[in-house]
Amino acid sequence: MKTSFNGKYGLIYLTAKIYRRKKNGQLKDLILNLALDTGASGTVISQKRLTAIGYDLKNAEDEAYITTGSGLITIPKIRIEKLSALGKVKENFLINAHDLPPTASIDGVLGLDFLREKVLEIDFRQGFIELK
Amino acid sequence: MSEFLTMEEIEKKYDGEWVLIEDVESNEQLEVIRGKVTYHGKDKEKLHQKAMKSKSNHLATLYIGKPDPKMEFLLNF
Repeated sequence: MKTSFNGKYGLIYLTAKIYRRKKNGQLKDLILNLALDTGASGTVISQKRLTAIGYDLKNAEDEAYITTGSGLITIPKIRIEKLSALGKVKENFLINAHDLPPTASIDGVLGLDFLREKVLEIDFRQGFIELK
Repeated sequence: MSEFLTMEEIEKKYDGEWVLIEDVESNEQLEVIRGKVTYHGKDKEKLHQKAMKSKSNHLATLYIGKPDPKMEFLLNF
């Protein structure tokens, strides 16, 4: 499935969907904007978006360290039930939960961990991306 | 009571704002087709508060509009 993007400038914006099954069995989902970041080893999703569909950040499976301009910070790693983007789905996917600055027009980044074992084609001339 | 709007209508009405859309209908490419806008504005914290209270099972939180071409991003995790 080919997804179009603006190849002329800026980030590669993608639409992704995260899911969580509620206690009553119903599936809750949230569509959000991520940026493709092939320089990122791991996928990052806003803590606020995760809590909005019911993920509990206190139940972190692990933690990751990020070096920022103001020093080293620790962020929780949360296992989410399902993430879909670019026509592909990852289930039981361990992501980094972290809020990007309010000025960012995205709620996270899609990192290499989502792309591994697949073929990624980015056509900046035509402005499309395909994950096979 | 919020009315159902198409994505085209949402893009026209809320350019440059964050929106919370409830009861979202989307296509295979995860593009929003239509839904109810229950928050719009530039305050991401208010968007979050509204999203936390939502009873809808199909939500979208999106920034509407084109990013500033002068804005540079350095993202690495």
